[in-house]
Amino acid sequence: MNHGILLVDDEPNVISALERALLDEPYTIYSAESGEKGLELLSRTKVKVIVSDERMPGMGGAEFLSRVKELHPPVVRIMLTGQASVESTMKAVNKGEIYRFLIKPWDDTELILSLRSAVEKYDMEEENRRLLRTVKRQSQEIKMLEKRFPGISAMHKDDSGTFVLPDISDDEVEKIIAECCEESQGEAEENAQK
Amino acid sequence: MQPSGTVLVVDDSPLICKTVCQVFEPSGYNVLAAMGGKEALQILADQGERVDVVITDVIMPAIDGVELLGKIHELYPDLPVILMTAYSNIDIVITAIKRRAFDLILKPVDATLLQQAVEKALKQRNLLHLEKNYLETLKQTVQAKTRELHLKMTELEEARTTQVVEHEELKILFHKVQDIKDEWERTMDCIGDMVLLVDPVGKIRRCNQALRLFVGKGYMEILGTEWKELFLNHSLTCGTTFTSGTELHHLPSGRWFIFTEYPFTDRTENKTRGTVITLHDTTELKITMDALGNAYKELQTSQAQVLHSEKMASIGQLAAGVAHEINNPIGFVSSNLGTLGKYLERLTGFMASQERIVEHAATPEARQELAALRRELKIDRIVPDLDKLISESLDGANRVRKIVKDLNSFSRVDQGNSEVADLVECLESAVTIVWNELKYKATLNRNYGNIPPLNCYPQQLNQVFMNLLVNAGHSIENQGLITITTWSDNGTANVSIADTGSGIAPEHLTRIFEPFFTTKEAGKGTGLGLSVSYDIIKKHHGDITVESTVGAGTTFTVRLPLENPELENGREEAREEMI
Repeated sequence: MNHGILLVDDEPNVISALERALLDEPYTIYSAESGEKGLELLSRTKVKVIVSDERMPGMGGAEFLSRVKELHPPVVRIMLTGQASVESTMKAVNKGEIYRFLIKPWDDTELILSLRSAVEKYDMEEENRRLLRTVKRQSQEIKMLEKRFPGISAMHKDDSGTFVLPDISDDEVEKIIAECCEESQGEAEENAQK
Repeated sequence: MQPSGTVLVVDDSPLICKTVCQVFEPSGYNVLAAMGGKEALQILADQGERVDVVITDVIMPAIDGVELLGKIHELYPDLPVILMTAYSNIDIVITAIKRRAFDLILKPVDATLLQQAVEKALKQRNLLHLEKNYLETLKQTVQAKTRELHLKMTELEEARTTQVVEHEELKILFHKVQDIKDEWERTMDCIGDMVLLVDPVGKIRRCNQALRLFVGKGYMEILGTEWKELFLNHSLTCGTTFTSGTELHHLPSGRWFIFTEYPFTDRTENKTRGTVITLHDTTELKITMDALGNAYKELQTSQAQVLHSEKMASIGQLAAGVAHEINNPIGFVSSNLGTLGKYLERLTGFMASQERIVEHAATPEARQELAALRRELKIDRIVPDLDKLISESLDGANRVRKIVKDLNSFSRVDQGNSEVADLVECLESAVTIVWNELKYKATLNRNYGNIPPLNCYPQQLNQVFMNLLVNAGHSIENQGLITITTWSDNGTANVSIADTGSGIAPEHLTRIFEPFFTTKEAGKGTGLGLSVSYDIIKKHHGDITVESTVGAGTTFTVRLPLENPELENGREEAREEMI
């Protein structure tokens, strides 16, 4: 599985040091020397976690991360700053909904652990989103079936308490599901157009 | 020839008149004759005083002799009247005597008798005259004398009046002088300063009320006393001498005076006649001056404190400014060093395997060459040293990081949040953190008194206590005692941390709160711990003090106000920011 990580810092030495620290981690590492370049890179590459510096020429780290939150909400955001002030921490946390706040000079182990949990968070959220989508789709299917065959989703039990399945052949079922899929896809497209 | 006298004969008989004339004219008398009393009175009225004697007949028509006698006696009392009568009647005689007839001659008249009588009468009259004259003279003399006396008396009276006037004027003058004297004395009495006039030998001649009240004696008691003695007896002691005079202190009342002497010279002779001494009460001035002096000292102290904290603040700002710039390179340097360590591990492992393989596979020549190269490049020394090299470098980077972090804590921006916390909890957490450093050297003695929880920045106080505990540990060389005491009084919470370590040299005591001042060997301390602590305590409006004896130990005492309204505000602001 490919884990994309984006490092943003105006100091190339910091980026290479971070890359070295993450050498043994299973990540594909991308880097950008400014917020603008980072956004540009994000538009064409899929990453899970961003580690950004706070003070950079041009777009600052806090602003960059808040733009990321806006444009690519699932991406987990970590700030790595040399400015260890409570004020800037709170600003960044409030504005960019930062997942972690790391202070330079950083501890490699802390960095690695933070990134691992960030990736995990991303994956879990992704999984969550996927599952949500599945649940949504399935409930859509049931809705369709109910529309076409009223009472189909209702459960019947016999006197001994076992479920009684309706008397429909497997082929028929397959056919119905395919129809439903088409319909729900059509609906989804309609929604997207809206 | 001068007549012997004038005789008036009164008789109704011309014969008798003629006879009398004959008797007296030859003797040189001037004789006047009247025929009756009326005529006689007329002649007397005309001739006046010229008649010296009257001879009258008693029995005459109209006015008789006795009646005439009466009238003459009445009109001319000095004029002697001789009566002639033919009848020697006793009644006539008695009447004649009553009416002061000079003589009574019986008729017929004997010329000799008459003559004698007349002469006698004349004599008497002369005597009377003489007497009268004498009396007159006497009277005049007396009158003259009296006048003279009167004059003298008037003169005297005038002189007396002048004297009285002069006396009156003098009296007024005297009163005026008295008034002026009185005025001046009262003027002097009105003055709060003591004023004395002393003679050349130092005896008091005059003084005002202020002095009398001060010594508690009357005017007369003070006069003539030696002023120095008087001052000594009333425990006035000399102080500093200024240009304006000498300062005197009155111990019993705590009053201060400025003593000033002025020479008192004679206006005309320009000769010193004594000295005027004044004692001006400067107690209030002195008190004010002392208060001012104290205020000045306090100001200086607080200015020094302000300067110090300004210095701290500017260091903090500078630190905040450079922190980022330093943290970036330190960040990648320490990270790289860590990575280098990992790389090295792999490399040495790889090299070990390589060596093993070479040992088996290479030719003896190649092995020898490699061994020589290994010796030449001192590989056997380098490789084991690499770990040390990296850990030392990491240690250096860490130290830089710590300095920057400590410096950052000066910055006002990095304040954190204040909260109500228990100082003992703070102390305990500090002890827990530094215990590893202390446990082999020191026995910890906890002497916790009662302190109510107070509003503070607990993490910052934690740092202070940690610094103090670490310092206490550093000062103990072998085995010692660290005593933590807490108590509260007068609205402050107090914490003292005392050690039985080496103590601080007196010349260092004033500098220990300066940033970067350290007596520890290089690498052991940044010289920031105490100055950071100082700054933190000042931020809490508290106070940190030190007492130390070289060889005996050091005690740091932290005092924090129990009520800290400014910190409350700070907390509010922090909350707002959070929201």
